Parts: sequence; structure tokens; C-alpha cells
Amino acid sequence: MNMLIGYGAILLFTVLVVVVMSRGRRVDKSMSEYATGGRSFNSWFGTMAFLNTWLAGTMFISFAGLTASAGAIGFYSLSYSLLSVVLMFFLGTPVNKWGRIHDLRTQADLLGLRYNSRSVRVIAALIGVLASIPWVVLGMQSLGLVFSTLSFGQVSPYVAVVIGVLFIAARQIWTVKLGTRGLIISDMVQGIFAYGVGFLVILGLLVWLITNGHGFNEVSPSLLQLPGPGSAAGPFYLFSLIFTGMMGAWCWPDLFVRMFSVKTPKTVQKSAVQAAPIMFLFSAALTTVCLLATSVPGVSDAPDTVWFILAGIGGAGMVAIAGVCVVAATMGNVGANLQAVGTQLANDVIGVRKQERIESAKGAKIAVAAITLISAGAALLMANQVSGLIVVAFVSYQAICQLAPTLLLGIFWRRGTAAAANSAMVSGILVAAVLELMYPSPLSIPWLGGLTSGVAGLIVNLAVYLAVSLAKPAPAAEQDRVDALFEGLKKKEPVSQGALT
Amino acid sequence: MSQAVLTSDRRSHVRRTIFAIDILLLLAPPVHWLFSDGQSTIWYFLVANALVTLSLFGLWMTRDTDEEETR
Repeated sequence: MNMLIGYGAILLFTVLVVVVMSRGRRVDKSMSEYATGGRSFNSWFGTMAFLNTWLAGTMFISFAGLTASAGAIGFYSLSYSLLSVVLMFFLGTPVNKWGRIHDLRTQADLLGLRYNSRSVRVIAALIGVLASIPWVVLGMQSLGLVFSTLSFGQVSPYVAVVIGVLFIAARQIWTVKLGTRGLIISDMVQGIFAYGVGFLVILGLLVWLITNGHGFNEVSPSLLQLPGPGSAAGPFYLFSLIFTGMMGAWCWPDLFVRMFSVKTPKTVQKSAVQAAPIMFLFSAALTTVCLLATSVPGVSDAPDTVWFILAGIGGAGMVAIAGVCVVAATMGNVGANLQAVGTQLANDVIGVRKQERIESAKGAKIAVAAITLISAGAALLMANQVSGLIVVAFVSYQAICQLAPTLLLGIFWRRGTAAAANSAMVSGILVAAVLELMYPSPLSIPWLGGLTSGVAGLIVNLAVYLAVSLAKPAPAAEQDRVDALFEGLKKKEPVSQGALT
Repeated sequence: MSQAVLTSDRRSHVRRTIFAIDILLLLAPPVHWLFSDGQSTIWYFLVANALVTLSLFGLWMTRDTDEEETR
């Protein structure tokens, strides 16, 4: 009976999402419409699309587990998430405006325009794709815990992972068919459940914990320490975690394209302002609950299951609701990732290779379907390795953040060149990869004061970008083109400079 | 803070100041070290992140209204 309640809740929720998506269905035949949803959404859709893309289901599992096992340092994800929202505010105008004027569909498309370079576009696209796929696999596998828990012991953990992977892969049928428009509409339903209903559950758990002898004073002092000077992780470890998260945020292709999907720059900024309090309330409450739960029996033995251990207090119904929250958040993140990665492959790798601007959505749909199958295959092959998933998240972050100097300086600084971008991205990735291999765990590098491989790579990356840009400036004609791009941002109706790559 | 009394340059300056304060609050290692032990760690994260959340409203109030366009 309990399993029926658990699996039934997920089925009902999925049907609801699909019905809402299908009612809002509009066939997007062109690549631009498929990739950006027609640049037609208002700020509330923008807010929920951002949240549902950013706050993945693994927030309830791996990140919750990190807080339950390592303590207050788990708040670091809240810090970098909010800094990302601040960055979103500043990025809104150039990204949305350039996107509309130059018909940009992907992050790599924007970089191709800014640097007038095919190689920058392809390298950025490949980094984005390679760093995103582990997150898709992570998202798919994280559903294993949901299906295992909601079976109430009827299904083995391995079979639960298989069910989870097949379930989320099947859900992508609608992602492939409906593209970004369908994703953003479904983000609203999924987001309301994951962060709205989820927040209410968290508040209930918070009250229960505090009134049942699991208050702040019961948290072990060892869980209330941050790494500082003299600590094993190093004094700059926490800085590195937050800095990497902040720098990496807008390097994720799925998150970046959300800024193309809304109506105007002002809409992006309004979305950011609306997202901040929701992000703060939800993440702060979830992290606090997980921290207080450290004194609950059983949590320290299986920290990744803290969300479900706590939900168990309310019986099978509460566990089912907790499971649907994870599924809702996972659907948004996995769908967005697959759609962005597939579109980027079609638009910025295959399109550049064929030396043509792809106008039909068909290629992107095929690419999204192919990436879905590959990711599902990888998730099934690694179905036995569901523990320590957070490490995968950390490692992919070290890679994706190497796009940051090229992306952010390209958007805010006129003098960056294509040669600088290429050499910076490649050198950053190489440094990060070598250091990652040398110091795989716990990620911090002792002789760098606890900096992570990603931040060390970023330092080299930034130095190379600045050095090459200043030592070998762009030719006058290219600099004039870039100046015109930036001047276009100041005009109300700028004249298009054309997407040259 | 009224947009009408601030020039575009002034608004831009305020936005950059808010950004710098946000970075300082959440990223500066000495701030982390200051609150690195005991329950102050929790309150540091909660209060600092609450302030950054509020700063978004400050950024909104100082946005460039001349950039606003309609489709």
C-alpha cells in the first residue's frame, strides 16, 4: 500500500506536468524558437526557469547529505547561488539584448559573436557539453534513492536506480518534442512543487526538530567549524568552493540560455530580484534543517538520505510528497541540461563543422534525443556507484568554471580577443585537470592554501587571457566591430552587426 | 533611493558598490575566518546571505531605466 502511495504520487505529478506542457504546446519549427522558446516569457517564468534549472533534485540528496555529514560548510551552496543571482542581474542587459539582436540561441553562439571566432565557439561548446553530461547522469541516478525510498523496501537500490533512469529518460520525450518552451512551462509547475510545497515541508520539519530536542545547541561543535588558517583543508578552501560556484554558474549552458528566453533585459533583472528571496528562504531553510537533523538517530549513518529520514516522521504520505519534491527539481535540471547540451551540439559543433547556420529544429531534437540515450546508458552502467555523487559535481565544476574569464570578460570588457579566449580556456582546463589528477580528494591543494584545482586553473586562465589580450590586441577592424557590439547595448534599438561565425 | 535624483553614472557607481559589498560579504576569506567556529558560522551564513538577497532590491532600484525597451 505504501509503495502504491509513493509511486502513485510520482505518476500523478508526472501526468500533471505533461498535461500542462501539452496544453501550452506550440510547434517550434525553427532552431531559434526551439532553443529560446520564442524569447517570449515574463519575469515569473524567468524566475522559476532559473530556479528549476539551478536548484537540482540533488539539493535534497547530495547537498543535503553534505550538510548532514560535514556541517555548516554546507551553507556554501547558498552563498554561491546568491552571488550567481547578483551576476544574473548584471548579465541581463548584454546577454538578452545581444541574444535578441543577433538571434543567438546558445552560450557558445554568443561567444562566437563576441570573439568572431569559430574555434572559441566550438571549444566553449565542447567544454559545456563535457561538463554537463556528468550532471545529467548525476540527476538521473539521484532518482534511484527516490524510487528506492518510495518502494518502502519492496525494490532493491540497484533496481530503483534503473527505474529512476528509465523514468527520467522517458520524461525527456516531451523535452525533445517541445524544446525550451515546453521546459519553461513545466519549470513553473515543477518549481511550485519543489520549492513551494518543498518549503512548507521544510518549515514543518524545522518546527518538529526544534520542538523535539534537535535545536541549535544539539549540533555537534565539530560540525560548526569552517576551514580557516591551520585547518587540514586550508584557509582558502571555503573561498575556493564559493568562488568556483559563482564563476561556474553562468558557464552552464542550460542556465545561460534562460536569459535568452525572457522578453527583455529588464525581465532578466526582475527575474533575478524575484529569484533571490525564494532562493534564500528555500536553501537556507533546507540547509538549516539538515544541520539540525545531525542529532537525529540514523542520519550520520546515511547522510544522503537525511531528507527522507526526516520526511518519515510524517508517515508514507509525507515521504511521497518529499519524493515528488526531488523528482520535480530533478525533472527541471535534467531536462534543461539535455535540451541545452543537445542544442549546443547541433548549433555550435555540427553547424560550425558544416559551415552553415542551422535553421531547422530537427537537428537539435535528434541531438537532444541522442544525448538522452547516451546519458541514460551511462547512468545505467554506473547504477551501482550511487554514493559519493557529490564528488562528480565538484569535479565538473572545476572544468566548467574555466569558461568564466572568456565569458564574463568577453561580455564586460571590450579588449579581450579570440586568441586570448582560446589560449585561456585551454590553459585553464589543462592546469585544472593536472591538479585534479594530482589532488583528487578532498579537492584542496595544500601548497596553495587549500585552493581547488578549478581556482588554480582560473588564476592561470585569467592571467593568460589578460596577457594575450594586452600583448596582442585585436586588429583595428575587429576592435571596431567589438566596439559597435558594445555601443549597440546603449541604444534602444541597436542596428545588428550580424552573427559572423 | 529615487531613480529620478540619481544620474546614470551615479546609479552605475551605486550598483558597483553593492556588487563589491556582496563579494566582500560572501567571498572574502578573512570574513570566513572571523566566523569559523561555533554557532556564529550559522548566523554568519544566514545574515550575510540575507543582506545579499536584500541587495538585489537595491540593484533593482538603481537599474538604468533608459535601457528598458518594449518588444
